[in-house]
Amino acid sequence: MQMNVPMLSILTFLPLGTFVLLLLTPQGSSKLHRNLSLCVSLFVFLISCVILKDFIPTSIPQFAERFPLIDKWGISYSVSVDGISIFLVMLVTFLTPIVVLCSYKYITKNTREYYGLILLLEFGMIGTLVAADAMLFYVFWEIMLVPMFFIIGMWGGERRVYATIKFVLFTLVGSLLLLIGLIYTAWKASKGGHISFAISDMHNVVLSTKEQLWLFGAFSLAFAIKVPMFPLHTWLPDAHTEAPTGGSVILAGVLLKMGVYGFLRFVFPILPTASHLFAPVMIILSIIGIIYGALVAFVQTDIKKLVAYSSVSHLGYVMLGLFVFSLQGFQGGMYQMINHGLSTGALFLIVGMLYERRHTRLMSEFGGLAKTVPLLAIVFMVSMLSSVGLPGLNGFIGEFLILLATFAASPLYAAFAASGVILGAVYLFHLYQKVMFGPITKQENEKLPDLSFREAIIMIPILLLMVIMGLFPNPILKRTEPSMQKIIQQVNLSTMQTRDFSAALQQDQGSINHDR
Amino acid sequence: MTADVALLLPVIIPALGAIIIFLLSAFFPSRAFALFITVAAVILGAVFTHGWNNSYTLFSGMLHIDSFAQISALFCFAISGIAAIAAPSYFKRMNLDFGEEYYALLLAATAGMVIMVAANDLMVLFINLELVSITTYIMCGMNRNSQKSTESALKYFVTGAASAAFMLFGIALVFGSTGSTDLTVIAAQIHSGNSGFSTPLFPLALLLIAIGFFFKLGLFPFHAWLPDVYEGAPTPTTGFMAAAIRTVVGIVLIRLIVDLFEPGMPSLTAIVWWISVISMTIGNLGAIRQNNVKRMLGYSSIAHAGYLLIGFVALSSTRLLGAEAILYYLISYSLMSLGIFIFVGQVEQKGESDLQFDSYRGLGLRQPFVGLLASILLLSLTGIPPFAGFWGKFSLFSAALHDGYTGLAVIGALNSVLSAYYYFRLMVNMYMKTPDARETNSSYVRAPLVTTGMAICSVLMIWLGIGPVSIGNFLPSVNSLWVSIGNGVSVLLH
Repeated sequence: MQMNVPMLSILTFLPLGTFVLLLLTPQGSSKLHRNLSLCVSLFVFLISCVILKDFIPTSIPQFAERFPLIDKWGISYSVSVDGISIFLVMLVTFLTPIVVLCSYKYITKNTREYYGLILLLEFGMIGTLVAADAMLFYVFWEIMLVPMFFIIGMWGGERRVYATIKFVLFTLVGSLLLLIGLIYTAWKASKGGHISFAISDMHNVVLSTKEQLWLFGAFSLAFAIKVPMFPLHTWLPDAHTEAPTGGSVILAGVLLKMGVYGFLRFVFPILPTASHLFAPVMIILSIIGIIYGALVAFVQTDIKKLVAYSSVSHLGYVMLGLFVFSLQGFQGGMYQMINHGLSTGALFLIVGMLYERRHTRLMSEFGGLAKTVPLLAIVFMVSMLSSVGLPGLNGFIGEFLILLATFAASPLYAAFAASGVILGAVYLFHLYQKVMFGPITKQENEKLPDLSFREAIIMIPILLLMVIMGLFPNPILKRTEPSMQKIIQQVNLSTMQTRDFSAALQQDQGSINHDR
Repeated sequence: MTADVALLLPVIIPALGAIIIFLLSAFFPSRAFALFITVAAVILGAVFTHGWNNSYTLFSGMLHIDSFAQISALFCFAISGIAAIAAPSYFKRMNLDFGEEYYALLLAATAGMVIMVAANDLMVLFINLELVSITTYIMCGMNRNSQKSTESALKYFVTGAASAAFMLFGIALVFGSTGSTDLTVIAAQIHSGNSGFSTPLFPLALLLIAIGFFFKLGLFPFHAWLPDVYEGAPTPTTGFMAAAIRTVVGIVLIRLIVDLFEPGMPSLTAIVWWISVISMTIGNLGAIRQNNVKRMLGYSSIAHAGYLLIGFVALSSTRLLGAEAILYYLISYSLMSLGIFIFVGQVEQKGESDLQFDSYRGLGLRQPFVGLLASILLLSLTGIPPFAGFWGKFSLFSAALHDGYTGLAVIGALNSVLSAYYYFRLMVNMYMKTPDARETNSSYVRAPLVTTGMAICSVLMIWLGIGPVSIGNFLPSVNSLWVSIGNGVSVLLH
């Protein structure tokens, strides 16, 4: 069925190879840097399309490759894709060429480093998504941190150093506890004294309720910081506001999804009991995130900050969808992740275009732009409506599925969550009205150039996808469904079969005594 | 006996080299020649360790050679070689009238280190530790024009002498309770249940010996000398100290614990646990507050010694895992700290003012290649995968978690976050701060030989991290330690 070519390895390591190649090129030739990275990232996208074409909608990991890396520690190089990761990989490979293209004009200094780091980031992101070994996952997870640190810090705005250090420290607190949690689980998953980091082995590990609760704390802290969930979100507005456009697009488009992906890949299958126990907390935090993000977004004067807070709100929906533990919720969450990647990515691109024209992001500096830049206004309109969740565009499907699932679980939760939809419409329409409609108050706004050819090339694929995904959700949902079913089974195992936890606990105590 | 001498060549060659340099430099002072002799001696010595791949006992039990000693000795040669080629540019710039002596002392210290990793007798161990220490005292004070350098040498000497006294007293007590200083004999006595170990003298002896080693490693509460000494010493010396002394002391400690401390360990574990936690925390908190890069690295090395102790806590129950983690961590940590001190030394042009964080502004962009090397070292020090520093921490945490020391592993992990702040701060200065106009920014002084040394360290970070020589490969050599000791003990018992 599949060719004997290590497709996933090629997909993962091509960007890394290009990163190394870029480091060898001379500093000044920025044309070479950007064209080379554009070609490579487009080629990577092409490879991922081939993978998608051959992808079979089952829950079985596909395109698997595996060879032992550090045998003694049970670490192997093992990669595969399934329904959870395939579309996130597509999102990465789809957004990377767009990010490269959108930086053509804006990034003029140190282009070699910039494009190199973007490709290094792509390497880290794809690696994180395809890794089927927990240690490999962790290595890629941390690799993602480094390029993002440099991208925000070197090409960011005024307060970039503060923002990037905050980003690094927040991420590291979570990820180092994640490391401890992973090693702990790996010891528990060891067979015959041989430690194993294979994720499939971890899924079969038996943990007592107490262990699950602690591990849930460690894992979900790391992933919730990345998402980010409500009280842990404070790094996000800073990082987004200071990052260059390309950095923001990747950050919002993909990096935030890594947290959600972590929940799907690790937390639910490994810690089903703790997930159920913590579900009310997580749901309430998600709903707070939805409403809080929307309210704070509404009072922002900086457009980019507004979009950043809207991410907090949107990711709240995703988490809400996951924690009701039903197929609709999972599917909706998955769909909403892709939607958010497209719509928020598009909004950040538009903010970037506005900034390149006016060198400000304050809402009050704009107004009446629909007259001077009609094409940009249309593009903005579609992206905004997709983000609001207008039926017919992609955003609607995800939000609808999530709300449906939430309603089935608890109408009260659904009522609160649905208020977020209205608030979302309020702040986005408010933004659009302030920027695009009304009289032109500032002189500078009278003669702004409309979308250039390059900018149109950037936006058209995203807009097309928004419409297609809004009208035909099935090609995606069909492919993710089996994998989602599998996680549902794994996470609901604990409630359906009522695992005998007192026995498990006793057995556990026995093994602890044995270890001593 | 002749076979003994042949096996001893890795020690004899550097010692001879040191003597040649001392004698020749009295008549024909030439730094280039001294450097040549040093590098040649190091390479030759390293080549001759190839005879150490089997287990031998030399000089009636004084030395014990096994593949653990082999890998440790090879590593000592590597450190000395890199430290040697990194030094000349610095000495020339700082206008120091010393030079040849530095290499002679370096070789003498190397000879001492190589004996130490193979020492099987407490007295041999002590004498060679003194050889290594005294040569380093002198190397610290080599910059005679600088008050700080003199202060550094004096401070190091006084605390070092005190620690030596503790250790010697401990050794005397061990001799008192066993009647021998031979580690194999002592281990055999422990195994046969000699009554001398039940007296309070024996734990006290262990504690005193441990204090001596903790001084050398710079662990709480014996850490106060370290930042001053690291700051004041000429930077190549600091690099050599941070890398070589720490490693050799750590390696010897592994051997001692296996032989000597085993019966006393349970009572010491709680103390070691606390020393580990406090050392990492104060090291990291101290480093965060520094504006001087060398001082920052000094404090951070206290923290790293604290991480190292995680392995020693775990050593008490799962010996193999703990020992392997310690060995790997020692090797990776010393290489990265050596590399980063080489980098700091090359940026240091006029002295004090070049050591501030601010003087690194924009350096990474002005000199991208060196910036890349330094970033790899800093990321490795922070413990970011896939570099060796990460795998070191990984193996320490794994060993601790396997033994149920979850709290210790969590504290270690949180401490790594603290350390990220100051290591990343240096990168922030190198890449993200715009240079100010006042010309306070310094550059890395280009010198091919020195950059080679730094590049070796950086490449080894990748190589040890994901290359064929990764953490999994250290097990056989650590294993050989137990095999050889077990053999020695069983031979004595029967």
